[in-house]
Formats: sequence, C-alpha cells, structure tokens
Amino acid sequence: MPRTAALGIGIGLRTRHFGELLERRARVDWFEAISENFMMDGGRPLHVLERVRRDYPVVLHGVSLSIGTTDPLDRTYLAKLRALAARFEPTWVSDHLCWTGVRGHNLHDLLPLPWTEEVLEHVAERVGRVQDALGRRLVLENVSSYLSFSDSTLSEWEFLAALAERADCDILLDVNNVYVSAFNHDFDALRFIDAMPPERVAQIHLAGHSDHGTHLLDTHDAPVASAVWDLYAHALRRLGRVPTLIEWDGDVPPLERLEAEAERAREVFASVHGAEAGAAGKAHAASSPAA
Amino acid sequence: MPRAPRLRELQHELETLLSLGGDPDCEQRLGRAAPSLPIRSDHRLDGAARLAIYAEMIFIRIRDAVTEDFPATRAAIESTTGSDAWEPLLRAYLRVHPTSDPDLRRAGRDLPAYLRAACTGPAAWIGDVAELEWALVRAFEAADAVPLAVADLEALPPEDWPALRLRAVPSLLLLEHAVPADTIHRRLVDGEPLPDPNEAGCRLRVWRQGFTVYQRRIEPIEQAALARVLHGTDFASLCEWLAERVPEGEASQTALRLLQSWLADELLAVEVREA
Repeated sequence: MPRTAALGIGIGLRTRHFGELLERRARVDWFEAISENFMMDGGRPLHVLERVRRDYPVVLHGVSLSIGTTDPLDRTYLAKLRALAARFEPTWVSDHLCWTGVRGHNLHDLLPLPWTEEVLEHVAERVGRVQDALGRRLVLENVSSYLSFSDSTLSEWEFLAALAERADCDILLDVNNVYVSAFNHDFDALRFIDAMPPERVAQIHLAGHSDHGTHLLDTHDAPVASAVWDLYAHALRRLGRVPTLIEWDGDVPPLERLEAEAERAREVFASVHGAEAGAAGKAHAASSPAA
Repeated sequence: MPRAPRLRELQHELETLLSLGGDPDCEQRLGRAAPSLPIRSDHRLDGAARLAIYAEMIFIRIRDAVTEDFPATRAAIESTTGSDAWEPLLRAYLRVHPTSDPDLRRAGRDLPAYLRAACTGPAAWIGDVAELEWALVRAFEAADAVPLAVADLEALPPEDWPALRLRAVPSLLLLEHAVPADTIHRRLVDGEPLPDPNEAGCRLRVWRQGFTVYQRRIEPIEQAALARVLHGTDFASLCEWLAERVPEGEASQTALRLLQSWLADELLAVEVREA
C-alpha cells in the first residue's frame, strides 16, 4: 500500500444525490468529487461538498489535467486545483494518464498515448512539475481506450509502473478500464493487474461498461460486470487492502442503488481480506440482523 | 525545440480529426487519414473506425453539455429552423468556438455571441434567449456573498448613511433585450406558443438568492441605478444621481423603495473590508 489512508469503499459525489446527502448519512466510507465540477466561485455544489467533507473523507478526481498533452501545463487550472485542495483537504488528488487536447483546445475525452520512452520521459517530467505545483503526490489512473498505437514499444502496464517509479507518483487502478481495454486491444487483463506495483496503488475504481460487439465502451451507466468483480477480487489479492470506489455517471441511479453496489464491493473485499472494509462496513455489519 | 516532437505532431493530427465528430463527412475524412497514422487495426475495427468511436463520443459529450444549459435556445432553433437543426448548428458553433476551458460546462460560453451573429433578421431574438440562459448559468455558480440585511442598515448611525458603500452580490447580472426574452424563454421551456415578436423588449436582473437563481423585469430607472451599484457607488451619490432623474422631491422615496426591494431580494452584499 502507498502512503495513503485505507479508506474502505466509496462512491462518486453526483448532483442527483445532493439533496439526500444533506439529509442522511450514506452507507459508504468516503466520496470522490470530480475536481472540475467544483472549480466554480460559489453556489450549491461547493456548499454540498463542504457538508459532505464535514462527514466523510473526500478525494479529488480530475478529468482535465491533460498530463500527456504537448501543450504547456495549464497554470490557471493548476492554481484552481491547488486552491480546491487547500479548501477541502482531500485524502489525495487524482487524474488520468492521458491527454485531453492540444493547441489550447479541450476535447473533453481521455485520449490514449503511445507507450514509448519518449512519451514516458515527457509525462514523468510533467508529473514532477504538477506535484511541485500542488505540493502533493499525484495519483494517476489508467483510462479505457479504443485505439492503440503501432509505434508503442512498451505495454500500457509497463508504462504505468515505470511512470509511477520515475515520477514518484501513485496509481489509481481502474479495474473496469483494464477489462475494457483488454477486450478492445486483445490483451490479458491479469497481466496488467499483476504488473502493478502494490506499494504504488492508492485506489481502485469499479464501474459499468457497455458491449458494442466489436468493442466495449466505458460508459459508467450500468452495474459493475460480473467479470470485472472477478478481476477486482484478483486485484485485491494481489495488491492488498486498496480503497475502492464505485463510479456511476450516466443515468445515475438512486443513492440506495449506489450503496448496494458499494456493499457488493465490501463483500468482495471481506471475502479476500477476511475483514470489513472501512468504517461504514463496520457500522453496517453491527446494525445488520443476525443470519 | 518542443519536447516530444513526434508526440506533438501526432496529437495535432489527432485533435483535428477527433474534432470532426458529428460532421457529415467525418467518416470519409477519418477513412482517408487513418492509414497514415500509427494506429493499430484488427479483424474487428480498423484505424478509422477506432478514431470514429472517439470523434462521436467527443461531439456527443459536448453537445449534451451545451444542450443542458440552453434548453430554450434549442427549442427556438428547432421551432424556427427545423426539428433536426440543433446538432448542425452546434457543429457549426464548435468549428468557430472549439472548447478550450477545462470545465465542460463552459462549452456553451460563446454560444450567445455566436447566435447574435448567426441569427439575424426575424430570428435575431434567438440570441437574446441564449444570452438569458447563459446568464442563468453564470448566476448559479457565481461567488457566494453575505447579503446585506435590514438589521445591518438599522444598526448604522444616520451620519454614516451617505458614505454607505453599495456593493452588488457577485451573481447579479443586468440584461437588456429588444424582445420580451423572459416571456419567450418561459414559453419555449413550457412548450407554449411564442408571444408576438413585436411585443416590447425588456430589462432584466438575474441573480441568485441562496441557491436559487431568479430573473425579474425591472424599470429603466432601476436598471440604471443597479448599473451604478455594479460599478461601485455610495448611498449619497446614488440619491444625488436619482434626484437628477426623478420628479422633484421623489429621490429619497425612490432610493428607499429601490433599497427595500434590493434588500428583500438579497442583491446587496456586506462589504468585506481588508484587515
């Protein structure tokens, strides 16, 4: 485990649940907030995040850092991210190993990189500068991808592990993304997970995807697939008690549905590690009727 | 010499291609470009098809974000130009104003200005509707402020009133339209028939009270007075300014009436003094 707290099982903080979260405690251990959704000057979202932060650990998860772009680092964005982190004191700050635009444009998608030594050097150098600007370690997530580059000289897992070591950053292992990319690029998902350095993996993501026949899409609009649960159990056995988060962004269901999905993650976690994950797990177990 | 020159060149090419999402000739252009790019193909998908997955998702994501903020504008475009006119309009808009902000919610930032230029003649009112909708978005996420309360003023000694600084809350926006933009907006959202386009225009104030965004029609005198508040003024200066514009002897009464309304709607903020 890296130098981060063992948080347990969390869910993403989504607008649909704002009202309910102001009224009751959710049966989860922590929340992940999309950084850009709170980079505003004021208003209800920031108020809700403040209230949530009072009751739960929170991590900030960005989608626009664009660590792999060849554009200069966006200093305005970094300043906003730093201010957000100073205000809400997240347990960690994460983003994606990807690029989102170039020439000052933002395509608002998580685009893959060629896995080459040139790109590794480029990204590692930028991670170092981002970590200096934020004054904290960055956590980077593997993305789902639908294309790969013929001039790659490394596998994605070799690249990610090498980047974490070279840039001294941590890893957010998205198990669903591993599954989706493994299908789309015809590689063995277990090889990816087995190559992750346990001491660098700070967090796991789980989410749903959709099957389009020729490819899988990382849609975050469905329950976690059965095969991804199996892969998650494998990851926990390999990597230890890694804090885990359920993502659901499209057709966001009621909070109870998210809590049920988190509960399933808790059960898998317990089946691997023989103990409840996180404070909500303990509280929930204590209040459950005897079988 | 830029770092990672090969990556830079690749990203420039991809950015151009992936911005084609939604264009009628997207598929053909990706098909022509893909063979020269280092993209792996397999028996399921060739390079062009893989690029197309991204191009389509990128356009849909941005389209959905803009559409969410401009429901009435969309309805206006569809009612005047055709039920399938919204996507082509957004494609044309994005060609002129590609998204640059890290925040996807700002993708529609330039749409009002774009529509002002694109929709002229009898359709010019569509730009007004878009401007109103964007003002509602801006007010929603404007900085918080502690509203000035009646009790704050009651606690003020009479001799301090003239120098009282009037400061607007950051969410306050003033709009002026040649058409009844507020009525048109409401009817478009509700799916009701539009008013007579020759109906008189309107002056609006848009603001956030608590977490709710409001809009209200205002008279020219209130609009001008609020514009002065937005630029920074004190109570005495506002009264003097009003005295030159309202019938003799009504300046104080008008100032008081406006002040009461602004306090009730929480348009004024407590002045934060630097320590």
